[in-house]
Amino acid sequence: MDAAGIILADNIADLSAQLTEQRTLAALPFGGKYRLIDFSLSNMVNADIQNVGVILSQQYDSVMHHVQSGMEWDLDRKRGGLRYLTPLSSAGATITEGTRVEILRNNLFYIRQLSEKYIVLTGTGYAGALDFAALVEHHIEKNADITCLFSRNVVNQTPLYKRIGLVTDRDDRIISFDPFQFQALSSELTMNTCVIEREYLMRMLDTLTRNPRGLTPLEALQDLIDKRRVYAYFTDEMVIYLEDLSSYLSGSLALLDYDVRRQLFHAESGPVLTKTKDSPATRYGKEAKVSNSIIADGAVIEGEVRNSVIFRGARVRKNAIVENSVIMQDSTVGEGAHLNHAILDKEVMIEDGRLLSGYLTHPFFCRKGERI
Amino acid sequence: MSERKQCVAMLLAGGQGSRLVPLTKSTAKPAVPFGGKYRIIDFPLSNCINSGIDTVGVLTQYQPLELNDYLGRGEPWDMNLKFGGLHILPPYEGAEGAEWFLGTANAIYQNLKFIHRYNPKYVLILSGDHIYKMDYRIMLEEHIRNEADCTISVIDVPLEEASRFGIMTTDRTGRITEFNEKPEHPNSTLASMGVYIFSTDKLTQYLAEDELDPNSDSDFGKNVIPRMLNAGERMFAYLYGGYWKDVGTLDSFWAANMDALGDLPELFLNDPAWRIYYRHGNTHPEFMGPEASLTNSIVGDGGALYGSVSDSVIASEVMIEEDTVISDSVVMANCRIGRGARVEHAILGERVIIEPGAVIGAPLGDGELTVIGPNLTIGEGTVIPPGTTVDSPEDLEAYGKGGR
Repeated sequence: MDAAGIILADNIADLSAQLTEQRTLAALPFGGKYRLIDFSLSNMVNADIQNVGVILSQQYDSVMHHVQSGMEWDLDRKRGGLRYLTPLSSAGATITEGTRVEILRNNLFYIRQLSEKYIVLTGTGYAGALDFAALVEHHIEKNADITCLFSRNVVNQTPLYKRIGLVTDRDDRIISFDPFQFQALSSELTMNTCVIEREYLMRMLDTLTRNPRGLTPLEALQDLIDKRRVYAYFTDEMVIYLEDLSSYLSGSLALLDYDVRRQLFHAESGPVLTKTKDSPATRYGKEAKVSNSIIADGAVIEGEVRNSVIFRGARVRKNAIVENSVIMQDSTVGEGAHLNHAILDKEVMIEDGRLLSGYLTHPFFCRKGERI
Repeated sequence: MSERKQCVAMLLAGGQGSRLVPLTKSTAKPAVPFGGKYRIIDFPLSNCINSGIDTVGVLTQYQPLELNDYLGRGEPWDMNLKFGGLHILPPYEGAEGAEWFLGTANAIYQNLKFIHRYNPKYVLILSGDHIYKMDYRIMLEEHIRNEADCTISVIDVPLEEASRFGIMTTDRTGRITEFNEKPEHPNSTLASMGVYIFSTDKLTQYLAEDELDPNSDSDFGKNVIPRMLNAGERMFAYLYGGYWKDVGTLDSFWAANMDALGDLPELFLNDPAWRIYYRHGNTHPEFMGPEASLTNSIVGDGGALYGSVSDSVIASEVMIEEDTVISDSVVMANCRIGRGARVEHAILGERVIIEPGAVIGAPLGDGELTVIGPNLTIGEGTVIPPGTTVDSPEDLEAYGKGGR
């Protein structure tokens, strides 16, 4: 594959603010044993993209600790492989809360060093097995300057292309979008995943940042759409958006659907890879009861679990009931406690007998390390 | 980087494991899966790294392909090092010709060069067929304190079982006065665990002497240890009190798996301070179906479970369909158990397919252990009676519709 990848592991908006208080969205745990960046990284390597830059902007310790050398994705290469792009990593870079254009511009040195013809850019706000090879192929076929990926099959939200009021012609060339909606979503330029020719990206970053005609970023984008061949690539591959607590809960519980699991974990493009933990097998006690749940290894279940997602190393003690909830790594639900529509971040301790309940739209949330 | 290692471990992983057939038919015993996630060799290797021993020579001989792949460069145990680390030591051809490893002692003798490369003061000899969690540091400290030439780790076994083991008699200081390999009338209950620490000089000396003895079987228990004892060397027993099980037979292998079950398991695998490391597959978390029932069991990941499982060890990527009953069993990775099948008091090797309605074994207490070798398919509705060991498709012909 003549393409390099760039993963924007930034918090472009205050999406799922509570869950990302202490970590960037890329490091958000999901689905029992993953972090969101696993999906972007796996999509890259499954498309045979062997040069991947990960742009980090803030609170990136947990991402780096998770991805490490990229070994689990076969990205610890002498030739190419994984490259971390941190703020202030090059001369002239500035710490910026700014736009993705500015963030990319700060890393122009990396883009210049690459030799691949195309760059696949992707964000980290989703779980989905997406065939990036097909995206690049489509881009070449259409002779496009930029091709943006949109899924028609979003499990738990309105698809992005509908939300931004995207208008395309019969050939899927993008004609316009609704600037108000677009701005409200504060995704700029990249719309999460797109492919672009590397040489063109370098020129474009230059022009957009110099912005000689004094256009607002939005005007500059519309200008781009008017003048260049910007295409949409629509796919039916499934995507789960993770933007706030309620989409996190609904997205997690969507995994209990066989079809969703099949599309995520058994996609033709390849498996979702993640860091290994050497957890022992999940242990179920003598009085354990489980139904319709995802339970990762290393968990210890002595109570009852229904319609829930249980992460590695979590513990549900005797007579506890966990339903419609997500229990992250190393959290404990004490004896006789009852949780419904709750999200426990990592290392939470729910003491014996507590009754905690939220609703699908308003999940009860416990911060990392809290004790109730 | 230091020029030497204090202690180098040599892990004997070349045995055929004939009493574990059919599980060892096409793989070495140390590579046999255990406890839902592990292989037997993960235990001694994890014990080493948890004990601060980072240099291990693994002696392979019988069916090494799967084992070699599994060990790789030792990454799972943090043993991929520039100086030291994990090394696979197969039999080799030298200037004087090629020779298989003729016995445990000969295997080490042929690899003395590997040991001397690290100039260790002590050599730890381990075998690849025991399940246990042991801090070798404590044993080594005792070896040093006793100024011993050789220290043998022992467990206290019931008298009636003693004749299955190498039995030590010691004086009050723990010094070994007598050693009997599988004695008919044991006069002690201290059984050798097959874990030895030697001072390197003595090991080198006695292995060389053993080589010169044409009548020797080149075996540590039978030849080297008695020879050292007769020569009056300082040999000590180290009494180990933790969990240890020889998994050399199908029944003991099954029993050791069962020891990992319970609210307070005898074999506690969830201890973050003594983790057992292993090489991972890429598996998604396990799904438990709406009608699943699961009690007193451990389960790997990557599979889906829709039936009823009790008192069992289920490995990764196992698919268990509706209306199945699985009890008191060990089910290895990538098995598929069809709708309505029953598997009771049995071991299923890797990639076994049980078609719908088949019945394997009988409830615990209702006959002997049933074992299905890897890669076999048990046809729809087939009944495999308790106590059967199925090794090949031909074995299945006797059971009617049979399998493949």
